[in-house]
Amino acid sequence: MSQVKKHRIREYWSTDPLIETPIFGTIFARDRYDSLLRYLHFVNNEKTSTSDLLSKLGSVLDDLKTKFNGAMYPYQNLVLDESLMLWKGRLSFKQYIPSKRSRFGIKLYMLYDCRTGFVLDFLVYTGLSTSTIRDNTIGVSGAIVMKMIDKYLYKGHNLYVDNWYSSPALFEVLHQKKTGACGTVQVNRRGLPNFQEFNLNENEQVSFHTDILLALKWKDKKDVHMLSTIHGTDMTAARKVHYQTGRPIWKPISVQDYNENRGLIDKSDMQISFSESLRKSLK
Amino acid sequence: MASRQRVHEHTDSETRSNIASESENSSEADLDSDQTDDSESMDEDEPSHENSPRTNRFTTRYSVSSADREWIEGEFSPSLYSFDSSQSGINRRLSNNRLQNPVDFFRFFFDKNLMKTIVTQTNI
Repeated sequence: MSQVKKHRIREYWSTDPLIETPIFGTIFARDRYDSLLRYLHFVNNEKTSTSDLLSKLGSVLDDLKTKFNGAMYPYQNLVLDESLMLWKGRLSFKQYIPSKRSRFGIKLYMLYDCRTGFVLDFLVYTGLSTSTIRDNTIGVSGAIVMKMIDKYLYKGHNLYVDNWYSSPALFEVLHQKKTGACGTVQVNRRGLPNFQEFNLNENEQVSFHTDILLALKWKDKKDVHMLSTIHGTDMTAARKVHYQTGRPIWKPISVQDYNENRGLIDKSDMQISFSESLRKSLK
Repeated sequence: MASRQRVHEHTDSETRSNIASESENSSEADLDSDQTDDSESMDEDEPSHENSPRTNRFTTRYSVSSADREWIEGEFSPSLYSFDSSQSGINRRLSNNRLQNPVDFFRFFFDKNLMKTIVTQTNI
């Protein structure tokens, strides 16, 4: 019913010629649908616990997760990102993120395969109770990364993350476990070189490296800070050309690669928006 | 191309030039090896550096304030892991001819067992 949007469930069976959609009536009886919706359960209510906020979903969530996960093995590049599924009902772990298109909703951490955009795994954010192993060196966001990518460690995958996750400590841990990583990074992240003293002109870069990490600052229109264990300092021609000179625009190879590999996130966000649920009652 | 592959040069930062001059002597031995690696690509791309008064920008070595790691400025080639993509892609059970219509794929994820669970739980 996400394709045909109506204000009330009952209107799907309406015979009013203005909003009539006969297909629903021919497939399912209205009152039967009502009663099913009312009694729909995924687990015996006596077995739910108050500590696990997703316990009412029972095994259904894990069951689906297992099937999606088993449906494909990813290519080399993986992306971890969070997205918001629109939801305006009453829920303790409902998020309010003003910058997102759907401001209220359920936050999901999603692991994608870069080439296909297939969602390999996801984690529903339920506030502090989101089960992760706390680790002082890599932080909460690092713990989420390690939990999500656990199955794909030691295989030579590359992980692309945004500046909420990336830190030198995390990338070192990943590299130790034979996993490359690349991401934008916050300048004030612990362990980074002091980039703030460098004022760059447009299209200049300055880079530092350790044995395994590359940290670079590059100025496009604004400063961009990247951290990577899989890129060198080379520049590459992006597909775009300059609007005045018509010459190709050059970017650090890490920036270009990061942009290309995160492109499919938007596609997945689009898919989520198709299945959003705005009803507040009757489950 | 040369002008676009500019790499940062910076003179007004006191801390940096101080440290740079300090470490210049001590790391001279390493510099030579670094330079031979870089020379092929860098010489062509960065003629502008020859005019600059600053010395050996790719080879100046100093550690940036960080407790447990030493940051070195300049060129970097990452150590990459190889990846075996022979297993990548859709699971064979799914890619054979058994699943053809969109509804087949839906049924793969939403199978009879899942349906049975929901029916049982709803009827309790």
